[in-house]
Amino acid sequence: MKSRKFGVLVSLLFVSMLTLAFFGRNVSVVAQEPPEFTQVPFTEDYSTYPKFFKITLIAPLGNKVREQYAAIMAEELKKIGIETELVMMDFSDLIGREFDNVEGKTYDEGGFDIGFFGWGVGIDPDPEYIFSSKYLIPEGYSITWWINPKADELLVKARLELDQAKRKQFLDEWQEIIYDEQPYSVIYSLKQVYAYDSNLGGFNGDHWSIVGDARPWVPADGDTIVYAQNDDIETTNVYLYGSLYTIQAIGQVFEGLFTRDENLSLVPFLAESATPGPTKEFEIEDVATPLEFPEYFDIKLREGIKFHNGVEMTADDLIFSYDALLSDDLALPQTGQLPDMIEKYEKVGKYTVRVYVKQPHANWLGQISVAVLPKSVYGELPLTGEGSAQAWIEAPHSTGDPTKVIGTGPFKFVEWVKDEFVKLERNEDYWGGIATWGTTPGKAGAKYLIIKPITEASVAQVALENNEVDILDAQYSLNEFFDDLNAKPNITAVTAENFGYQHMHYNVRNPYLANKYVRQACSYMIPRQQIVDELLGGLSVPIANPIAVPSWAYNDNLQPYPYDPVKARETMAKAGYSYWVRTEKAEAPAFSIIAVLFGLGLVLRKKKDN
Amino acid sequence: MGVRDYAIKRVIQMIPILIGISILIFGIMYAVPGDPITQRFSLNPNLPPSEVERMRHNLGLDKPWYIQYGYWLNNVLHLDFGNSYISGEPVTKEIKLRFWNTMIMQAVAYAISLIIAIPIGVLSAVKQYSKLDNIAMTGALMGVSMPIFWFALMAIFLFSLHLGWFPSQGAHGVAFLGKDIPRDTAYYIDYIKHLVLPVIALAVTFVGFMTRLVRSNMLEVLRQDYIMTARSKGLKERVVIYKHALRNGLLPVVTVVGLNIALLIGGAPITETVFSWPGMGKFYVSALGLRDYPVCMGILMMFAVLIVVANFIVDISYTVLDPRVKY
Repeated sequence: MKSRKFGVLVSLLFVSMLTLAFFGRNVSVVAQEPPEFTQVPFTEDYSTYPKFFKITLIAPLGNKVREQYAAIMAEELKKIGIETELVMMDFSDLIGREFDNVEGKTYDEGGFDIGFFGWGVGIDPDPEYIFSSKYLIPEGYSITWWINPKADELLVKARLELDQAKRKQFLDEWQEIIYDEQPYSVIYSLKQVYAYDSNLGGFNGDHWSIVGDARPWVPADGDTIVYAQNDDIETTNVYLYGSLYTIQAIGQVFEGLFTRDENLSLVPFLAESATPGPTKEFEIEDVATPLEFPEYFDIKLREGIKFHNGVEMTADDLIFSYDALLSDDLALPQTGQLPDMIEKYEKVGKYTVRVYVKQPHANWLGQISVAVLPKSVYGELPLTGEGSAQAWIEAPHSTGDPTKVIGTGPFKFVEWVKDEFVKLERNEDYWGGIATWGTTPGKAGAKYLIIKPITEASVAQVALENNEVDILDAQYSLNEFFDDLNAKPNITAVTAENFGYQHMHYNVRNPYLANKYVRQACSYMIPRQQIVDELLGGLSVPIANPIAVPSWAYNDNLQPYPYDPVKARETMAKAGYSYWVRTEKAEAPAFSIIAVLFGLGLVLRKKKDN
Repeated sequence: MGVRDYAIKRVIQMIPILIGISILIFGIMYAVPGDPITQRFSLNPNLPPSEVERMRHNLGLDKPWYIQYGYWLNNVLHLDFGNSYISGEPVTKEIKLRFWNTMIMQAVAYAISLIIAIPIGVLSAVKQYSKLDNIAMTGALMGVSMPIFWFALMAIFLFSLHLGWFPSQGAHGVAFLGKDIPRDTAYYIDYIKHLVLPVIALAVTFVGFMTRLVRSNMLEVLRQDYIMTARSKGLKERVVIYKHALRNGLLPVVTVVGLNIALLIGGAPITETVFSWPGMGKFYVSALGLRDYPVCMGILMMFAVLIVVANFIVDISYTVLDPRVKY
C-alpha cells in the first residue's frame, strides 16, 4: 500500500517534471534556498548531504572483480547524495530483470535502475542490437530504454557504409553522443591473461584469443598438449555451441570461410576468394536514398581441401551448411543474423557458390562467414520438420561420435568423456592453413591436444606447476597472479586483447536517471583507474566508449570520465540537485543527551528501589 | 499388523509421495528465472530475439509448465527420462557416466570414516573425560567445523604441490585418458592416486561427525538401567559394552548411515568441484545452473526415490535390529 502511494507520488512528480520540461522551464527540485538551510562548500563529509533519491544497483554474482566494483559504486554514489542499495543476484535473475523488462520498469516495479555486467562486441562493431531504439526490449537488447534518433541514424549509416574511413566517422560521432548522454558508463576493458609451460612453443595470446587456432603450438615435452579451462564443452556440433569453452575445443576441428589476420582484417580462409557481382540499388528501411551494393558475391572455395573422412570439400558442402543454418525449423544458435543477410544462394561451379545479398551490410562477408560441414556426414540429419532441432541436438554428430564429428581443421576429433577431457589428434592430411599471425602453413605442432575442465583457478595453477597441464585459459582471471606466475621458473604468463568491456548501465525510464546530468555525475564517480590498478593488477585499461579498444572503430579522442567528486556534484547541480545542508543547532544534541541521562537515572533508581 | 503388511503399506504410500515431489520440483524449477536458452545465449548480441524464440519453441519451452510436466510424466511412465537439452545425451546415460565415480569416492570415504569413527567413538564414551576422549573430541570438532573447501585446497597445496605425492585434480592422468587405454594395474593405480585427496577431504568431515554421534549414543546407553543390571549380574565389562551397549548404541547410527547413503549418491558438489572429480554432485550443480530441465528432473527424482527407499529400508531394518520395535 505504502509503495503504491510512493509510486503515485513518483509518477506525479515525473509527470509534473515532464510538463514543466515540455514548456521549456528550468526545473530544479530544490527551487529556493529554504531559510533554515545554508549552502556549504563541497566537503568530503558526504554524510551531511541531503539524500535526493534512492536507486538500487544490481550486479550478478560470480565474477569477484565485478562484485567488488559494484560495491565500490554503491558507496561512491552516496557521495553525491544518491541513496543506494546494492543487490547481488544470480545471473539469470539479472537477465530476467533487464532483458525481459518490456516496459522499462524500475527496480521497485520489478525491473532495474542501475546494472553491471560485461559483454563482447566484436572486431567489426555492429552495435545496433544493443543501442538502437529500434531494438528496445523485446525486439532486441537495448536494455537501457535510451532513445536518441540522431544516434540511431548514425548506426544505420555505419552499418551501410562500406568505406571503413567513413564508417569510422559515423561511429566516432555516435560515440560522442553516447559519451555525452551516458546511457552506458563504460568502465574498463580487461586484458586477458594466459599462463603456460615456458617450454611450450608457438603460443601467441592475441592469436589464440582472436582466431582460436591451436595449430602453431609445439609441445613442451612428448607429443601432447593439455589445455585447462573452467568448464567442459557442451556439444561437439559447431552450429550448436553457446560457450567459449566449446568453441576453443571444437574450433580446432571445424574451420570457417574467413578468418582475421594480425591487422584484424577479414581474410579468406576456406574460401579462396569472394568476388562481388554487379551492383544493384537496395531500398532500405528508414533510409531515403537507395544504396548501391553488389547484388551477389561469388564465394570460391579452395580446391583440394579434404574433410577428415577423406571427402573433398566442394560447393555442395557450403550449400548444405547454409541450408542447415537458414532452416527455420532447426533454429541453430549459430545462425545469428544470416537470415537478414542472405537472399538466396546457388551453386555456379564445382567450388563456387553465388550468395545473393538481402540487405547491404558493411561487414557482409564477415556476417556470412560460416563453418563448413561435410554434406557426406551431416546430410543424414533432417533439415526441416517437427523434431528436427531435437534430432540435431541428440545426433551422434553432437554427442561426440568420432566418425561423425568431421571437419577440415588441423585436429581430428578423437574422444569426449564428459567432465573429464576432450581429446583431439593431429590431422596428418591437413591442407595447411594460411600464412598470417607469424605462422607458416603446415600441420599442427602437437600430435594430441587434450582439453581438460578444471573448475577451481587455484587448483588449475597447482596443476600447471605440477606439469599436469600445459596451458591455463584466460577465463581463470589470472590478472592478479600475473607477476607471481611469471616469477616461477617454468611458467610464462602473457596478456591478450579482449573484445569486451565492463559497464555500468542505467534504466533511462527511471525518472531520476532520465536526466543525462545525473548519469554523467554517476560516471564521474567511477574510480576507473583505481579499479584497474587495485582490483585487476593494472592489467586492463579504463575506457570511455562501448566499443572494443583494439577495434579500428574505437574513438581515441574521447577520454574516460575522470574520477572527480567535485565535478560530479556540480553536474548533479545542473540536474537541479543542490547541496544545501541543515545548519546544526547546538541545543538539540545537548538536550537529548540530558534526556537520555535523565532516563537512565530513572531506570537505575527504579532498580535500586527494587 | 505384521512386518509384511507394514512393508506393503509403505510401498503403496511411496507412489503419491514421489508424484507429489515431482510436481513440486518441476514447478519450482520452472518458477526460477531463466531457462536453458537464456542461460546459454542471452548475452550474445548477435543472436536476434526472434531466433531465440524459435529455439525456445523447439524445446517446447513456450508451453505452460504443467503441460511440459505432463509430457515429462508421460515419458517417465514409459521409462524414458528424456535427453539433456545441452549435450543431447539420454539422461540415464549421463547419470551412468558419473555414477560410479561418485559411488566409489563416497563409499571409500564413508567406509574409512566408519572404520575410524566407531572404535574411537566407543572408546571415548567408555573412557569419558579421559585424555583419549579429549583428544578425539577436539579432533572431531575440528573435522566437523572445517570448511571442506578450505581443507581440500590445503590438502592440494600440501600433498600435491609441495610433496608431489598425489595429482591435484581429475580422475585420470593424461596418459590414462580414453576408452582405448587398457584397464590394467597401472590404470587402476593411477585412478587410486587421484582418489586419495578427495577421499581424505570427505572422510575428515565424516569421521568428525560420526565419532561424535557414536560417542553421544554410547554415553546415553551406558547410563541405562539394563547396563547396570548387566554389570550387577557380574558380567565382564567387555561383554557389557560389546554385547549389550554397542548393539543399542549403534541403532541411531544405522538410521543416519542409511539416510546418508541416499545423499551420498548425490555426490559432494564442493569436493567434486575443487578436485574436478567427474561425479554426480558437480554434474547436477552445473545442470541446475544451465536449467537443463530433463537432467535436473532425472537427478532430483533419483535422489527422491533413493531417500524414500532408504527411509523404508531403515524402518524395516529396525525390526531386525531392535526387537522392541513392532508394527
